[in-house]
Amino acid sequence: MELWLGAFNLGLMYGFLALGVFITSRILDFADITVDGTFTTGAAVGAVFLVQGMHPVLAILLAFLAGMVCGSITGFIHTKFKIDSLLAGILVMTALYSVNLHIMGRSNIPLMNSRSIISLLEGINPGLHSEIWLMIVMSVIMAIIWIITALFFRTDLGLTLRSTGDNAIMTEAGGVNVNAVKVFGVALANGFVAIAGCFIAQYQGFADVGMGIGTLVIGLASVIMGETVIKSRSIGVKLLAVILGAVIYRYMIALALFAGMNPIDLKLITALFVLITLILSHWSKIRKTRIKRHPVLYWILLAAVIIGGSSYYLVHQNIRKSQKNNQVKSFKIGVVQISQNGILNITRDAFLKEMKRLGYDENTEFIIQSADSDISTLNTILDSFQSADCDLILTISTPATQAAVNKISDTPLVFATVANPFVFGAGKSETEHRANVTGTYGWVPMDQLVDLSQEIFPQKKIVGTMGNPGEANTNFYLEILRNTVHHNPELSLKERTISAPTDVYEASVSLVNQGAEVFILPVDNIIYSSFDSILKAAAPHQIPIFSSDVDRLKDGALVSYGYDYASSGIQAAHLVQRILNGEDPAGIPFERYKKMVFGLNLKVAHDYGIEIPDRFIDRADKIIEPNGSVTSKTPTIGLVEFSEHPTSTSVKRGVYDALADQGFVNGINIDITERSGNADFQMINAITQDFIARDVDIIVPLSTPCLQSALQMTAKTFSPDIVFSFVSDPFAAGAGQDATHHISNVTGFSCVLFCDEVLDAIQEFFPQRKNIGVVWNSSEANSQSILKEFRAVCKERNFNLLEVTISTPNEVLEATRSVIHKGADLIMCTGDNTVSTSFDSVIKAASARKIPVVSDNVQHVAAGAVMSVGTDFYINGYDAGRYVARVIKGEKPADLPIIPTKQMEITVNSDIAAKYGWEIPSSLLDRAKIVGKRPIRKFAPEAMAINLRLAKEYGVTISDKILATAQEVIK
Amino acid sequence: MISIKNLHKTFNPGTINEVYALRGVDLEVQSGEWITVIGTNGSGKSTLLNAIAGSFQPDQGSIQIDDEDLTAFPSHRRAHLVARVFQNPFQGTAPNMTIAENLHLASLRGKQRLPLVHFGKARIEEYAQLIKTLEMQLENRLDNVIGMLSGGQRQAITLLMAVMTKPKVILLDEHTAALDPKTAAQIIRLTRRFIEENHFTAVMVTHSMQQALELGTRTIMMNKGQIIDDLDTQVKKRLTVNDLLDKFAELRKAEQLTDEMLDRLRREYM
Repeated sequence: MELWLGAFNLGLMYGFLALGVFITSRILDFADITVDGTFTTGAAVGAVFLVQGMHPVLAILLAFLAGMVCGSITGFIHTKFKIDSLLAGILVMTALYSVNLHIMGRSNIPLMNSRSIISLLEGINPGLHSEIWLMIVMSVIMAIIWIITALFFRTDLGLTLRSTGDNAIMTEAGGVNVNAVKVFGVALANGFVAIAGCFIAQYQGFADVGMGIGTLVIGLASVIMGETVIKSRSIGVKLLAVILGAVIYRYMIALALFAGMNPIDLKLITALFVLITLILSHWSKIRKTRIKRHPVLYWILLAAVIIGGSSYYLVHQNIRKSQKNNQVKSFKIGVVQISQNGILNITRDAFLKEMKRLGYDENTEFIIQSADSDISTLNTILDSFQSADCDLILTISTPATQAAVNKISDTPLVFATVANPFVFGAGKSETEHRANVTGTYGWVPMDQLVDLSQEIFPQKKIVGTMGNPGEANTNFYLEILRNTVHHNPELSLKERTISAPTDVYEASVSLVNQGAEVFILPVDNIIYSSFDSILKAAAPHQIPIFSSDVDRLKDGALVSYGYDYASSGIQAAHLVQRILNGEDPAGIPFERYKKMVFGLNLKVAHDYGIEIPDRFIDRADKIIEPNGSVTSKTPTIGLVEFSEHPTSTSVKRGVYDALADQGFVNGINIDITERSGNADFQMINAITQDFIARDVDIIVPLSTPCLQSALQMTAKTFSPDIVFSFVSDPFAAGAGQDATHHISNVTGFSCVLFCDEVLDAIQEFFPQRKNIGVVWNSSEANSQSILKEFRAVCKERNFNLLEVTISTPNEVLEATRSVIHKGADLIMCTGDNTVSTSFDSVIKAASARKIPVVSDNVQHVAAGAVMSVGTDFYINGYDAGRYVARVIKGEKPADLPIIPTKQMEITVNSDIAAKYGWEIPSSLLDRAKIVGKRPIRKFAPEAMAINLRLAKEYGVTISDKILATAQEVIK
Repeated sequence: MISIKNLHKTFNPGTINEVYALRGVDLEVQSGEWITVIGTNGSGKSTLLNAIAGSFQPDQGSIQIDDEDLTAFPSHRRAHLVARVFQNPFQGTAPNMTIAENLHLASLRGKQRLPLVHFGKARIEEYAQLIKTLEMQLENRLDNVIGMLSGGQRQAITLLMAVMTKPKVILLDEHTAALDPKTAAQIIRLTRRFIEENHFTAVMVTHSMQQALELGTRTIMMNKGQIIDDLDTQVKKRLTVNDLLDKFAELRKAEQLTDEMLDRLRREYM
C-alpha cells in the first residue's frame, strides 16, 4: 500500500519539476540542463532556512526565488553572449555544484528534527494515515498550481512567452524584447524545479548535495510520457498532462522495483520506456488515421500493466500469507545500501554470510537492493520493503539509514557502516535512541591518529590532509581533525579538497610543497581508490602516511588505524538475530565497532630510516616486516575450489565447521577468502597468484588441479603453507612421496578408494557377480597406484578382475564393451580421470547389457551408476579444517602426515536399481544414502519375535536366516 | 512621416563576404504615401526595409519616423510605430498558437506585456469580426492552430495583424513572392484595400514591375545600394512595364561600360 501511495506523492512533488522542464523544453524549445543543479539549490536553500526554524512555506518561497536566480543566469549567458542553450545550462549546472556546497556548508543537511511542510501538514492531520493525508493535500496543492499556471499562460505575458518560443522573429517584430522574455522563462522554469527539490528534501528528511543528478532525465521522461498519454492543443490540458506524466514515471519505478528489478537497471528502463513512448508517437504521426487512437492504446497498455501488476501483487500477497501460515517461523529481511560501493558490499556480504551461518538460511528471505546513488529510489525501495511486510530492515551506509529513520517507525531498523548515527537524529546516545532503530557504527578516532603521529614523530608538526566535501562522513572526519589540531597549538593543519580521483595527485603535491611533514587521511571513497597518487607524491620526500584504511598498509602507508568493514556486517547480524528472537530494538543500545585494526608497515619505516619504538610494535594487530612479509594476529586463509558444485560445497562446509569448532569464526578472528575457479585453469592460477600476492597465511586448495596450481606457485619459496582437501592422489599431484615424506609446506587429507568396503558392498548387492571389469588409463599415475591395490584386494577376496587399458576418452566405449565381452558382469570405476570424462560411454555400454556400474565418485550415481562407495567429503573437509587450525596454532605442515580420510559414504540410485530389477538389500539400505525419485519399499521388520515351541508343536520349520533376524526367540 | 538621410551600410566589413549594401540613400516619405520599391538583385531594397524596421544599425546616416529619430533603436523599440509583413508566409505567425491568440498578440504590438488576462470572450468576438474582413471564411476557425493553414491564409493573417493596430508605417517585403498567382492576387487585393482605406504610410518592395506600377502612389528604383529613379503618380500612369525594363537594360549597358572602355571609345570615335 505504502509503495503505491508513496509513488503517487513523490510523483505529485515531481510535478513541479515536470512543469519547469515543460516550460523550457516545450514552450521555449530550450534544452535546459541547469535543472540538475537548481533542483539541489532549492533543497539546499530550503534546508538551510528550515533548520533555523523558518516557516516551511516561506522557505519554499525562498527556494523558488533561488531557482529563479539560477535560471536567469543561464538565460542571460545564452541571450547576451549567444552561447548555445545546452552549453549555457551545463556551465551553470557545474558552477551550482560548488555553490550548493557553500550554501549547505556540508554535503548533507538532515531535516528530521526541523519543522517542515510535512510536519506542518501532519499537525493538521484529522486522523488519516499520514501518506493518505499527504496525498489529499498534495493533490489540492498541485491542482491549485495547475490552475494558476494555466491561467498565467492566458495572460498577455504568458502568451508572449509562448509566442517567443514559437516564433521569436515575429514576436520581436511585435515589439517584444525576446531576450528578456527568454531569460524570464528560463528563470520561471528553474524556480519551479527548485520548489520540487525543496519539497522532496522535506519529504525524505534531508537535503544532499548529490540529489539533483539525473533531474533533467526525470523531467523529460515525465513530460514525454504525459504528452503521449494525453494529447491536446490546449495549454491547460498539456500542463495537466505533464504533471500526470511525473506521477506515471514514479509508478513505473515503483512497479519495476516491486517486480524485483535491480535499481541499477532503472535508468535503462526509463530510457526504454521513453523510447517506446516516442516510437508510438512517431508511428501515430506517420499513419495519420491512428492519431486519435494511439493515446487510447497507450492508456489501455498502461492500465493493463498497472492492473496486472496490482493483481500479481495481491495474488502473490495471498500466496505468501498462506505460505507463511504453513511454514515454520520464517523471516523477511530487507537489505538496502545507497550504492554498489566496495566498502558497503563488504559489509553486506559479511552480514549475509554470518546470517546464514547463524542458521537464517532457508527460512529467511533476504530482499537485497541498492539505490544506485539516487535518493528518491532509496525512498521507493523503503516503501517497497514496507509493502512487502518485511520483519526487519537492514540499512547499509549513512544516506540509506537517514532515509529509513525518517520514514519508518513501525518496522525494526538495523544499520551498519554508518560513521555517526547521532548527527542525523537516530538517537541522542547509544542507549537513548529511536525505539525501532539500532545498529553498529563507528567513526575512526582521527584524534587518536594525530596523537599516534605525535608519539612516533614528536618533531613533525605540520599535518597534511585531504577529502571530498561531497561525502558526509569525510566532512565529519575532517572536522574532528581540525578540532584536534586546533587544540594543540604546536600543530598546524594543511587541507586540500578533492572531488575526483584525478585531483588527488595534484592535491598531494601541493600539500608537500606547503611543507606537510606527515599525512593523516580520513575515510573517503576517493582516497580509497587513489591512494597510489598520494604515495607517489609523498614517498620521494619520505613523508609518512597515516591512513584510516587498513588495506592501505600494504600499499605504502606507514601506519593504519581503522576498522574492518566486514565486522560491521557481522556485528549487525548478531543484532538482527537478537531482534528476530524477540528482543525490542528500543532496548538494544547502538554498538560501536569492536574490531579496530592497528597496522604498522616496518618496511616503509626501514626505507624512510624511521625507528618505531617497540611499544607500538607490540600493540600492532598487523605488521609488515622489513622483508615484506606480513604478520598479523588475524590469520588469513585463501580457499580455492575447482568449481561450485554440491560436493565441493560439502567439503567447504566441513572446513568451516572444523575451524569454527576450534574457535575460529570467519570475519572475527580469522579471515577466509573463498574463490571458485569456475573449472578454468587460468582462473585457478590467477586466484592462487592473488592469494600469494596478498600474503595469505594458508592456501586451502580443494581438488587436484587447485593443489597442483598451489604447488607450482610455491615451488621456489615453499611459502605460504598449503592444506588441501578433496584430492584423490596428492602424491601423483606432486605433493611428495608418501604420508611422512612430502613437500615441507604441504599437507592435507586425501580421498582414496576403499577397496575392501567396495567389495563388501558389491557382495551384498550383487552376491552372484564376481567378475569385475575395470577400464583405466595406464598413463594416469593415480590410476596406476589405485589399480595396484585393487588388484591385490580382489585377488585376496576371490573376485575376478578384468582389465582393459586405454589412453584417450574416445576409447572408453569400445573398451567397456570389450571388458563385458571378456566376461565382466559388473563395471567398476576407480577414479580414473579419463574414464570419468567419458563416463556416459561407460553407462551406454553397460546399460545395453544390463550390467551394473559401481563407482568411487558420488557424482556418477546421478549420471547412471547404481552405487558409489567413496569418501564422505564433508568429513574430508572437516579433517583438512582441523589441520588448518593446527597450522595456525603453530604446527608445521612438514610434521603433519598426508593421510586419507577414513569416513566413507555409500550412495545408491534407487531409480536405476528399480529399472533393472535389482533389489537393494536391507543391510545396504541401512548404511547407504538413497537417491532417486521412486519410493523404496523398505521392509525392515521393526521387531520380530518367534515362538519356536509353538512352531515345533505345529510342525513348522523356521529357517536359520529368519531366526537370525528375529529380535526375540521363545524356545 | 519617414525621413532617411545619407544611409550607408556595409555588411561583414573586412571579410570575404563584405557587401556594401546601402551607399548613401536619401528618402523622404510623406504621411499617406504608398511607395513601391523595385530594383535588380542585390540593389539594397530589402536592406532599406530592414533599415527602417531596425534590424541593424546603419554605419552612417539617420532614420526618422514621425519626427522621432529612431536610428539607435533596436527593432523591438520601433515596433509600436512600424509593422512588417515578411516574404516568408511562415515567418509572420506563431504556428503552434491559435488564430485568435495570434491576433491578440498582434493587438499588443508595442504595448507592455503584463501578467493580466485580457484575452477573453469579448476580445475573441472582436477578432472574429476582424477575420471576416479577410473574406476567407476563417471566422469559425479562430481556435484552429495557425500551423494548419495554407501559406496564403497565413500571409493574409499576417497582413491583418500588421494593420490591426493602425501603425504609422507598414513595411511589405515582397510579401506575395512566395505565393501562387491566384493567392498572390488575393493578398494584393487585401493589401490595397487595407492601405487605401486607412491611408497608411507604406513601403512595399516588389519584384513585379506590374505591381510596382499599378500599386502605390510612388515608385522608387534602386540599383547597387542607391536610389536611381523616383517616379511620382503621374509618371507611373504613363509608364508601362516595358519602359521600366528598358530603363534597367540601359543601366546594364551602362554598367558594362567601364572607364577604360569609355576612354577607348572616346579615342576611337571622337
